[in-house]
Amino acid sequence: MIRPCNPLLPLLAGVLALVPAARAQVAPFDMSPERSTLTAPVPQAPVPPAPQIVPRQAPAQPMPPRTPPAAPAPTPTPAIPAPSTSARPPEQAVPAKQAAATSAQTRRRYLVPARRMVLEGERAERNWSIYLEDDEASGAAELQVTFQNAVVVAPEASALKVFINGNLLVDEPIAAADAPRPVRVKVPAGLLQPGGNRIRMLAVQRHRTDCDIRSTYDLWTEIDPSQTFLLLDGHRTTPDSIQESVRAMGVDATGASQFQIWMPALGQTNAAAAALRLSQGLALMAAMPNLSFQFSATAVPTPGRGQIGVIIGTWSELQPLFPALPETARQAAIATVLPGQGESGETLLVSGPTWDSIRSAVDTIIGTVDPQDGARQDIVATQRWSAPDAPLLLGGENIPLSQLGIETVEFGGRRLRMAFTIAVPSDFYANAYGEATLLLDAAFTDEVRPGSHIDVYVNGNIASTLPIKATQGGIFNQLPVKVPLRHIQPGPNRIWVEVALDTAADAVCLPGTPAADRPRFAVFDSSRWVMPRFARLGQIPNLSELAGTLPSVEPPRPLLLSMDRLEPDTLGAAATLLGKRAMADGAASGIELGSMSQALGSRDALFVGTAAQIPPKLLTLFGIDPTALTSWHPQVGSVTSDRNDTPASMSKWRSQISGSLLGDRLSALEQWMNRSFDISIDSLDIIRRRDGLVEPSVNDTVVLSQTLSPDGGNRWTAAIASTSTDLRDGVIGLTEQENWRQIAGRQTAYRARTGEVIVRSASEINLVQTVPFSLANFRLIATNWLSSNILIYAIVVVALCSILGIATTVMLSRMGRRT
Amino acid sequence: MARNVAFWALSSALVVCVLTLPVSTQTQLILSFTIVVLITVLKITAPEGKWRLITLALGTSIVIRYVFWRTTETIPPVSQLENFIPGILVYLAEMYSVLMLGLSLFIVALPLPTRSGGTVERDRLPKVDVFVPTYNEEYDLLANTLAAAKALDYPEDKLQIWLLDDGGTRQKQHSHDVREAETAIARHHSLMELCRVLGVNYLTRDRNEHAKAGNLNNGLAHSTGELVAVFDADHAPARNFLLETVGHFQDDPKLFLVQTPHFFINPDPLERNLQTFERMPSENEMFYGIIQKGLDRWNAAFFCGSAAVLSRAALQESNGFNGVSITEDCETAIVLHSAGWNSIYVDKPLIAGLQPATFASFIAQRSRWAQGMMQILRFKAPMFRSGLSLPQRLCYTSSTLFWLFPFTRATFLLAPLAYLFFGLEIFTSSGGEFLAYTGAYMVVNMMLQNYLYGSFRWPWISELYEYIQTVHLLPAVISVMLNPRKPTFKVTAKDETVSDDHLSELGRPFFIIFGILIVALLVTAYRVYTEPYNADVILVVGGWNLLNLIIAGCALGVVSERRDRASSRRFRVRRRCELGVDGRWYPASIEDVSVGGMRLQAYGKDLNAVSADSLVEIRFKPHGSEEMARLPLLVRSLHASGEMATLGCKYMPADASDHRWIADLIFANSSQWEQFQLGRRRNPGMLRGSIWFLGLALYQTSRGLSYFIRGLRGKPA
Repeated sequence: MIRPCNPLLPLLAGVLALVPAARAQVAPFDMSPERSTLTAPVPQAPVPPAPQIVPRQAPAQPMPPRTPPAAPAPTPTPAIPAPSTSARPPEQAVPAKQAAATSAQTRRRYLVPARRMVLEGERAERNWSIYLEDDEASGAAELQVTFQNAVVVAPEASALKVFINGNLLVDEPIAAADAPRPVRVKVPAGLLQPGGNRIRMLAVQRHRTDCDIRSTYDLWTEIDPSQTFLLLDGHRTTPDSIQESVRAMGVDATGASQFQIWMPALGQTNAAAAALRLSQGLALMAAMPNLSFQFSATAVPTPGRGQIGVIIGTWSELQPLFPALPETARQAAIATVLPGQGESGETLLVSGPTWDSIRSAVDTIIGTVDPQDGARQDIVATQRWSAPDAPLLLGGENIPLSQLGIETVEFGGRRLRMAFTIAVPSDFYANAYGEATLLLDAAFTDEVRPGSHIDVYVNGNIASTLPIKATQGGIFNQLPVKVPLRHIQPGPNRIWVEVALDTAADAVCLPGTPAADRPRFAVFDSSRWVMPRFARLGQIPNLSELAGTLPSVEPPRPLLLSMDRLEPDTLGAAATLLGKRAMADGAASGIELGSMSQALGSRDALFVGTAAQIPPKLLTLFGIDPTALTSWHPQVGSVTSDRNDTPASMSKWRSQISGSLLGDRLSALEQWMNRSFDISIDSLDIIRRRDGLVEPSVNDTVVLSQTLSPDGGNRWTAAIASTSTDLRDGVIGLTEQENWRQIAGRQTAYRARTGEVIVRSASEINLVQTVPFSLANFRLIATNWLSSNILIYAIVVVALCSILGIATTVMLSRMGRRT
Repeated sequence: MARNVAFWALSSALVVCVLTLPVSTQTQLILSFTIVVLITVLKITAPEGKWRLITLALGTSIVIRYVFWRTTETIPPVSQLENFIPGILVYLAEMYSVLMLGLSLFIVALPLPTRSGGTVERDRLPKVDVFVPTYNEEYDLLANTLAAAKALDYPEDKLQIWLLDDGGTRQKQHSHDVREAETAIARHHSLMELCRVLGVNYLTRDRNEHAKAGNLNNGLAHSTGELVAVFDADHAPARNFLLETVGHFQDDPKLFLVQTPHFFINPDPLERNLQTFERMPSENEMFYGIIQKGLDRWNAAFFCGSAAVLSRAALQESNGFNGVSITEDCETAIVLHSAGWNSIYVDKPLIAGLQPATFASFIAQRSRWAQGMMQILRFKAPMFRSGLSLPQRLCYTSSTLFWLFPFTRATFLLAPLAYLFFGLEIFTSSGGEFLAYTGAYMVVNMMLQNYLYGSFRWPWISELYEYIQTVHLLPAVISVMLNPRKPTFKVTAKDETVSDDHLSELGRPFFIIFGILIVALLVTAYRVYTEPYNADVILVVGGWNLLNLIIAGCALGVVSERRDRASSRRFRVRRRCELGVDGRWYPASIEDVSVGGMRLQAYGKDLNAVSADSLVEIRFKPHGSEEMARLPLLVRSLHASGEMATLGCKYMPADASDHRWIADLIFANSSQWEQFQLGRRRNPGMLRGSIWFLGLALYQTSRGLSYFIRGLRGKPA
């Protein structure tokens, strides 16, 4: 049902405008000349802002005072590079604004970009940034942080600190064991800046009674995302630009962000293609961790916090339902922002006389965020959930940890954790052999006993351990710690450095010891991460490549998106996937829509649909047993147990029935090999097993699957669910940052009820070239391949040595003296 | 040929490419395991031909993997200089070992099979001068050698024997030191008399210039034969020596040298003190049994100072024997090889000689060799010497570089101590990597050594020989590096006997080192206990130290000189003779002989009446002669049972000519030496050999310590 009296509508009268050039920036540190965000994409009209199209109204009110007398805020030139609004030319100072604009109103900006945020251990830290629009940054503001903590946290020795842009705002003893405790403080005027604002939460926690390392695992403080926010005072003004508005979209109380797209022409292929393309652009701009798209043909969007509405359609489609549509859309494409009111989010309006014109308007929007041709990306945008942005490493880098957001820490506890993020391209192919080096600068006092150790974790997996052996204290000066790249995945990777300290004082643990904070250990930000040159090679199937970017010299060919029916849920799922993909890749891909049955040609393709919509032949190709579909129905109620899982069952039986003595010995040997060297009998296989068909479990909400196209060489990916609502919800769940990091293998299933991500790895892997051939790359590729096919390496060496032996025999028998 | 080389180059390039891929440790582990299994199978089945080189290639692959990994992964960071500097030293020592392994693989990849005697046309035999240079050897020894030389099976008119006496030169006879002068004069006269009796030329000279080389050149200047055979004063030739060697000169006019092995009839100090002479192949058998044959393939067999025939034409081209270094033999060979002359090696023991009996003289001999080879490395730079072929350059480089082993031995000895005592980490590696790379490398290295040299050199014996030399050779090698012209030729004493058990005068450092290693062992145990978090590394390093300790313990036995009256070993001969007691002749047979005496079995009723210390004589038919020889003997022991009597007798040569008969008994028949050598040449295998060595080392450690304690109490051992 249409609700014409949407609160938005009155606003439309005056605000419709082609937003003048915003200071668009691809990345926060991009200092390239300003580019225009969007202008009327009328072919004959050149790019410059066209104030003549929309009558500009005088600013309804002057700019709020930016520099309160008392606060020496760095207003004119913000410390954080961000689109500066203060440098705007006067005549463009504030775009058209609704005269009857909102009164000064308090708004909430939720801060936490995740469903949960738990600060664990003796020292835990989170860094991310939020983007504020002019009007959000200018008024008075308050910060509320609500937290609850473990009962064993000693309040007198523990503190939660919250910093905004480096200024300490909250420094509270952690004493909220019984109930969530909100802390509210005023944010000094001028501290918040238009653009990016860095939020840092630091919990320093000590145990009430215990001093051992194990006890540090009991320390936690949980931040309540729904009760942690900025309260922003101030008038809402119309955002400068679409980009500005989208970047500032923020999160809702659960850390999620959503675009609600209203598109009357939802069923039309060209409309859907334009909308999907737009959704990639929006995702690129927003760069939010848990971002989804919702489509509707009928409901006018009602965006709440962390949401943005999008109205897209031709003038003729929209006009009947949306009388306030400006006339200009009849002649030329428009793309603009409708300000939100009160707590509601803003709405984007993209319209024009025809879908072609809308399409070019969409391209213009995307043009502001899509990387320029040939411009190599060197970061992956992660700062909305983990600041700073992750550098994209292509091998051979040597980066000080200070650049990765690590600060020098002097530590007096027993377990110190610090993390940083690096990203690798999606054709990273060095899991089997590669080793990065952490050049560690650290120092420790003589209090630290041998037996202490420094561990490095990659994506939660232990990668290396450096024992501390000195008894008299010591200094590590660029001490190399080798970190195997086994668990590195395409895209951003979280590297943890964990220091576990053993001291005599802790062993005795006198009262007062846990709280003592005399530094025992220091890690310096001059430590460096050295990335080796690594092999670059694409693998099909390998779903984790979706999470990475592929810096490539050639522009990619359009992706074929295959959907059987254009309906809101499927479109939402497709847009959410494509948006996530675009964010990971840092670029929007071209989209061509096709149906399942169409000849697909030789190109990469994405299939989105319910199992029933996908032809059995394709299902088989994707490794899903078509005959099993009858059992794949949404279950009501609790989680049903799986059907007998054959491998698990077999191993259970095996463990129950003790075999022959020899068999026991052999399996003991295998276990030892496995423990000591990570070698299993499987890894000695010479002939790869074929990947069989998988029956989806009834609990699988959505299955993501990848395969090589039948003609070879192309990557086909499918998102399949049993129903379209499962498809939508499943994809939204799967694309949450925490889950998306886990996708891998040939199939990844997501179970919405339990939040599980289940990975089915591939045995048959096809390798595809991604970078121009070079001998160095080939050598590294061979290294990785032979390191994962280890028996073949032995065979190759033996074969070559035999040839060499024969060659030497032949040569020597003709050289020197003979008999 | 070019195609073969190209094919070889291509396959080696491929092998190197594949082996220098930085594959994971798991991959390496599987590779190591596979190769060790394959080499084991190949060693057991021991196929020949191309399989030999496939085995070597497989072994080499592990070595290359190790070198690649060692170079790229294990060197400590430069930021830790205290680790980096010793780390680099150990690394260089290891790379030297790998280089030596590579060179020796090249040399012995396909050694030449034993040669036949060459063409001998009796009527066209060349004239031969036999040189026996002497400096201070005793009369009896010289008499035996000269007598054996005189008995050489060769036309008498074409054979001249020369005693080149440097101990009776006019310089010495007129020495300011009265005792030296009188000794020289007496020596001069007695040797002249000996030569006269034996029909040998005596030659001495005015001044002792250029040591042995000068002495030989003096001989050259006074003789005219086309060929020159050189025997050290203690090297007695077998009768067939010349017939087995001179024929080769007729086959190749550019031949300058035919070298034959040195066969020793007395044990060296290690063999004597460890009592291995009868069972284990001698140290030099590896050199003469395999390496010289390997060198021979590349026309690089070199002159070893004795037991060789040289061409006068060639020597004239090089102005005689070269004396820049104190190893004139090898130096002469390298000069002539680079002048385009050829050498061959005849793998058949044709002389029997003496080697240094005491540890001190053994060390003195080795110091001379090491210093001389260092001088050649320095002055002749074999790798860059023009005129040599590439294989010859590699061969000479290998032979000279070998003598740098004291540095590596010392490094390997000290490296574990650096960690155990000072905590220096000179080798960065995880336990798994150590097993996959270092473990495999060590095992494969030992297997290769055993495969190549198994029946000539038992496991750990090379290490033991290197260790016992290192302690005293290291300063010698360093000094020659600092002052390459300083060393002078010192004649090695060989005819000593050890009359009582005692510690060698050079033995003290070995006990000190052993003590330090024992302390390191205790530190290992202590640290494993107190630093459980470090246990893996401590155990690995401690294990390394334990290996050093085992070798060092065995060396204690080597420097504990065992009493040994017999200066040479007995050989079974079984020769008919007659025993004369007081003019009565009894049928008898000679059971075995040694340089000092013989054992007889005689048949006669009244033989038990013969008392010990009574003079008897035997008569027998010498080789190549029809008349009976008579040799006086002194009975030292007698066991009679019934009509059979076994007599132990000592030679009592009445005059110089009697030495002909002693020489005939001992030296005439070279095949008995071959039999003796073959009896010792068996490969115990890596495992059994190692266990045997461990047992030997434990026993010798206790023996060495007991000598040490007795020495401390001041009692004669």
